[in-house]
Amino acid sequence: MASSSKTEQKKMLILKSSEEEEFEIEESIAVQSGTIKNMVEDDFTLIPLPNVDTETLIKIIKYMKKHGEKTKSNEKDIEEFDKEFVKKSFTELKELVLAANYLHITSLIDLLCQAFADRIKNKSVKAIREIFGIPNDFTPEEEAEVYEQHKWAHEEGKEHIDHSAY
Amino acid sequence: MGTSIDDGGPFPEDLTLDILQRLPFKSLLRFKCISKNWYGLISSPAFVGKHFNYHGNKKRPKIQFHDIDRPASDDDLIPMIIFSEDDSEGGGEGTPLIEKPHHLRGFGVDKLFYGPVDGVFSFSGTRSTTEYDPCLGLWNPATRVVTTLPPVHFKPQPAFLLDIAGIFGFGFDPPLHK
Repeated sequence: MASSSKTEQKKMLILKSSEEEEFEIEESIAVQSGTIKNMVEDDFTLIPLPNVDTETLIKIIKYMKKHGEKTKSNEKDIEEFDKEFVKKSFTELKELVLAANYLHITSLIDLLCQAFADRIKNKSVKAIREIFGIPNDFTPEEEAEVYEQHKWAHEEGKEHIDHSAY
Repeated sequence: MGTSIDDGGPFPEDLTLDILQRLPFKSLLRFKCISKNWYGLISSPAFVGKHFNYHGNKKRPKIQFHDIDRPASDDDLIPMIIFSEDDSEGGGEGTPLIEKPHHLRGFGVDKLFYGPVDGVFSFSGTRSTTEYDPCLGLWNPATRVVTTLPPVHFKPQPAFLLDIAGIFGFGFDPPLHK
């Protein structure tokens, strides 16, 4: 993969959101995204991202910039950043994980999926349906049957079940 | 505050699976009730394998056998407590996950456990105290599902009875993958 280094200037890319807003970013940072990396290898410098809205793109760029400057000494700092990064509503998290998936940013997909898992594991069945927008296609009888199959899982510790969809 | 995130695209299946594989067993069993799609995803052998592998490196529950004093009348008491290794306390202390595995009753489980193979144990027990009537079964401590294997159709010579303990091996036949 030849790239001319005639000048000492860092190569910049432009990322364009679905709302046509443009953001400049160093190539070395942007290639944390597998999708962007492929386009760069095909000589693109303006990268249109029709699947990612402006708000989400700003957050993703923030993530990539932080993780792009990873060194041995700032691991704790990045950990803190990641912890704060996922403190968002489910709506935002969903937008982010879809974008991260589309952009193939492995570490971000990992971080977001783990955040989802941590937040939903004690949630009630109803809350999960609301969060993910999943309609219930069981009849009441069918659902009761499935419930009975693993009744203990529903009954044990049910006082700890979280019914909120937030 | 956010509303239901049903704004257009359904959640892609590979992302859903990525999230689900990180969940503890108990949550997954509850989430089977969410929809037919999730029921299918969670029950599929491919996902079960994926979930198992994901958690493979983490600490697993330990099974300890205790000689709890059996009251004479209570032959069904199984002298076993299952601990979670998740507590970071050292030593043998842990939170009992299942104090009395009632779901093992009726199988006369008093013999050896083999395994685990992919998280499933085999046990042998005797259903009768007078006859040699061995009962073999499979037990998955996480989902608490107990399956008995078809009865053994042979009656060993009396001389074998003394050596019988420990001869039931337990293996895993990949094509069956049940």
